[in-house]
Amino acid sequence: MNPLVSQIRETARRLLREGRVDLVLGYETGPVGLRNAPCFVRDAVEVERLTWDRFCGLNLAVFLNSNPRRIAIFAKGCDSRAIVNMLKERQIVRENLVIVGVPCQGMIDRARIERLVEGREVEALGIEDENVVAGAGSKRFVAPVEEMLRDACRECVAPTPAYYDLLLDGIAARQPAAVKAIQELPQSNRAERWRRFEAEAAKCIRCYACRNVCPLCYCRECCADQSAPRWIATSPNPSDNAMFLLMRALHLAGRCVDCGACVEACPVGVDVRYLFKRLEREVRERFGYISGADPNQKPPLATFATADPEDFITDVQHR
Amino acid sequence: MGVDERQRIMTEIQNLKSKIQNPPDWQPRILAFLCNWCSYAGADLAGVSRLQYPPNVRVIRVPCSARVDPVFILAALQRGADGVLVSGCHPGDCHYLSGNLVARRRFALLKALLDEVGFETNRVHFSWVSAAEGGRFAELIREVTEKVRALGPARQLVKRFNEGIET
Repeated sequence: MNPLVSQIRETARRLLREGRVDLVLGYETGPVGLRNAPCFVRDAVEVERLTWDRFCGLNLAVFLNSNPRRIAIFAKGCDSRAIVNMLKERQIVRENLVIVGVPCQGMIDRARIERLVEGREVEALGIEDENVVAGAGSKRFVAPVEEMLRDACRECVAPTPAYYDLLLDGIAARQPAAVKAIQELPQSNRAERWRRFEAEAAKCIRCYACRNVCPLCYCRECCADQSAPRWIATSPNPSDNAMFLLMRALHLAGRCVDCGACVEACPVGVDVRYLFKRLEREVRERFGYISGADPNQKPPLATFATADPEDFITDVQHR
Repeated sequence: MGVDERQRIMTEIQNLKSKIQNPPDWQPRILAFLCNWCSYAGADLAGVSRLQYPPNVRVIRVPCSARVDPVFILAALQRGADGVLVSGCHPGDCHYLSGNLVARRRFALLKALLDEVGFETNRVHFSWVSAAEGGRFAELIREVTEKVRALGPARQLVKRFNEGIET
């Protein structure tokens, strides 16, 4: 068992017994394999349900929205970054929250495991010496853990939460990726980039799973749901899918914490994480802002600097 | 303001489609969002001064460049605009002090995002025109019209209404 599990249960038990919180948010083994379900513990006798392994990809911060209870949340680096942004945007009350930081080793990508076992049903899964070992039928599949991680985890710059009330130890977190790795974005020509985006948009079935798992997509009325006027039609078609993906990316510009939850939740494998990465880079380079890092820094689109770059402005010589 | 105003903007966008043109007679259709205090007055001055500029631009007056939601721009590109221009007061001259500066950040990100997905970014323009710059306004419209004309009719993002059930 992961050495964190006993610590998580112990911490949850203590916080509930001491009456510091009414609810503990963690993970439990879900009804389907390769992904844990969110676990809501209200009573200290139930803490044995809590677990922790390499399938805690869901961002638990999504459950904090408009929740009036006093909550303890087990937060990975990305959950903690999302909490920082939600606090900044005044979506949650700090006093009602106990953030228990969990050093994160990186979460395993379900889609990669499914590709590894070539579509078979995974019956057993374990980690032995930095290798994922999956048993399916009579076969055994082995691959390095590193290659099975989600993209967001591979490129995570802060796997250990920087913002927390308590921090669990006993396990070494993943080494943070260098910021430089993030700057290396695929360069290609415009037509190629459009083909790539069109192909991603064509897959979308507009189930809004990405929106539902995102802790920062908390609008009561999403622009994709507005009907007067109907900016984005509800039917899945290439143009409106593109609109939806672009608007979601823009609305998360400077806010996305790159937790990878939306990519993981997508049932048809739409991967538009590269759009979020581009916006992250623009926000960092243009406005000197890193999403989820500093609780005291103002959100970049709620403020301005007179010296903001103007390289994109159409200028004309006027006579 | 509010829903009515958004509905009016959508109606203007939908009206762009009213005349479907075929390639030989194709003329770029450009939707311009001009701020009430500077660029709209600049356009007015260009008109009063009898300055000539291409007739390809359709103007929507907005209270401030910061009123322009990126969804307006994308909806216009989706529904028949070959190009979109947003123009406001010069930085430092905003009637609301900092509306254009907040808008500037938003537009920088929109243009970067459109570039990332491989959209023809020359269809989307942001600029500053003051109430005294009638000449600059005419020049800007010439410049934007030529850039959009060079790209030809819009294809990316355009919604084909027979592809799905419109809601």
